[in-house]
Amino acid sequence: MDNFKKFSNDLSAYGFFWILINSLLTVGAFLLFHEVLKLSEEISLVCSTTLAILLSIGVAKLVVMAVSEPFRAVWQAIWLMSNQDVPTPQPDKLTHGRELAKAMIQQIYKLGDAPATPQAPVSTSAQPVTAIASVSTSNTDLLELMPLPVLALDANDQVVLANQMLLQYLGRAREDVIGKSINDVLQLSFQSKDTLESWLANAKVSSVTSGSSWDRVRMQLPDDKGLKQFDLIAHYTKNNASNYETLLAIFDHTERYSSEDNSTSYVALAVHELRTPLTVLRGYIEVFEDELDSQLTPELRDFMHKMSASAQTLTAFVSNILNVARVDENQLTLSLHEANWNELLPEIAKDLELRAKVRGKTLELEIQPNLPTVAVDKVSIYEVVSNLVDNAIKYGGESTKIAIKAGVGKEGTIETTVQDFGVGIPASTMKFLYTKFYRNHRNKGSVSGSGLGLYLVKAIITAHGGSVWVNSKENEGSSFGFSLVPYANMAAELKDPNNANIERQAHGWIKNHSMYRR
Amino acid sequence: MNPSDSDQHSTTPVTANGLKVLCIEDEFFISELYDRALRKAGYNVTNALNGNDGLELAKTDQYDIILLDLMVPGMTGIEILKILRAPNQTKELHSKIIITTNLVQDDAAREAIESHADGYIIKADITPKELVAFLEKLK
Repeated sequence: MDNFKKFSNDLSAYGFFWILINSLLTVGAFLLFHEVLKLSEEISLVCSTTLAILLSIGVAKLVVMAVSEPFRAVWQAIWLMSNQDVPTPQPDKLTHGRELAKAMIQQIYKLGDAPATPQAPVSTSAQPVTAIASVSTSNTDLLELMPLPVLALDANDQVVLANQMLLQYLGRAREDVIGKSINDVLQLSFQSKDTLESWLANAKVSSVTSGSSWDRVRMQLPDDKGLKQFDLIAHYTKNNASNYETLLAIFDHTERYSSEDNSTSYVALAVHELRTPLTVLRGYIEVFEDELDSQLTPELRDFMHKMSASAQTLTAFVSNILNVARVDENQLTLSLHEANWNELLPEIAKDLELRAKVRGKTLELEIQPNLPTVAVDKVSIYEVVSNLVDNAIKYGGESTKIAIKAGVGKEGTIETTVQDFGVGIPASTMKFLYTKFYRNHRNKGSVSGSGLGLYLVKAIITAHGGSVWVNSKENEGSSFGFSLVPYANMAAELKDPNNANIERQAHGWIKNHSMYRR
Repeated sequence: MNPSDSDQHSTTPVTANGLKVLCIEDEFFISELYDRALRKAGYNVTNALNGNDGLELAKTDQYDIILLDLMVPGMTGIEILKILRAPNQTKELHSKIIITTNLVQDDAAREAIESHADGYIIKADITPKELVAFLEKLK
């Protein structure tokens, strides 16, 4: 009722000011016309009244807008929650509706709290049956009536209530859900480190009551029943009398979010269409190199190598496009495993040799022996080295040498550098190097490129927990480096039985659950 | 159809390694290349250019390895995989199923597919020879 009182007070204040301002303006205008402009009394009266009427209409409109806005928001919230198709949903309104629903859930809490029977002790028991028994019925009914999938957890994060909507949403029976741990019921992936788990852990320590919401939460249903995407809101109250410590509500947006994903997946389509002919090209070229090599003249062999290298470069570029799209959508997931850098780096370099060779460059490796093993995602780290070497080939100028060095850095990390002896980079442009689509103007005309490579290198290395750097002198060449964390440093994290292999995402984003494999 | 009906691309005589491969792949060029490389390595190869033929052949369970493209006409690779790996629909296959694709998939979808297969290959990332090397490791 407090809100309503406030609302009517506001309304009277609006009305009061409206009349006051209008009267003052009318009198003022009358005085202006009569005294200053020396018009007759009648004309002044007519003019000032007309002005006042026009003003009233304008002000009235403003007041009505201000007054009706909350109603509009409520109406929108109801519409949203009724799960009907909202015509052209505007994101801000949706958020607004969600915020209102959050307030509503809070209200349900309070309702649940109010008639809390004094004989029902605050149960933190792990026994779901007794837990349910202590739940006040009005609360349960209300949650059951909510036109959204709703879930309540007790102090041990076990599900004590799941409404019919939720069971339908998950396609599971009530007994499969009640009494289970939240992690067994919902396998959620969040966009950032701000996960339900971390929020809840924090709320339990530091708050009596707390609320939060997340956008674009993903959940893979078991048995290939598909992927759900939704917004999630949560509310936490410590020692809540109804035994619902945490309430979760789901706003399903699977269709909307997946259609948005599809609009970006034209990248995926383009990549597929490019990859098929590339597969064929590389396949036939391999046949030539393998079987017809002896029949080729040196010139033809040279041409063959150039074709092969170009097909490889194009394949690498296609992967770059795809990975940049993934980084931008936070879909790039790394799976880190132990690897021997003394073996892996030469392996990668060997693969890149041909590309360098056809451009008249040789890769010279200098790797400190017995480096500590590193924690890497092999596919992604290959792309890092490949991008740096491709750059060194492109910007190497007249020099024929590209130096790849690896060793242990000052802080115990494994540092790898790829150095060319070409044109170098002007100091003024260094800070833009890792920006997407950035290309040094001086080179734009003479060297082809997309400006995606270093952006990707940085994203991948950051996700590995390492860092990137560059040293360059104009006309002497550039050296691009990156560091990798020794496996031993990550081993503790990796040996955690819940993290059979660590996965990381660009921007340092991490999934909520550890049941993941690549 | 039995393996001997399949088109013979390779002319090079090789020592057979006794392993039978079914290659379900609609892109004829890729099919030709894989067939050629696998035969050279001593595999006995059968090709299916669409999903329905592929499924019928796969169900006979005479293959040691099935290369399954996800985007084949008739029936998609995912559908085929589901049928072949369904616990009740067919007797359990002894064939190893390797997914070959150029499709970009989000991790969740890929994960779901991988859990039912024995390998997952992005075709553009490997040459036919590298495919053979991959299958050798599988043994």
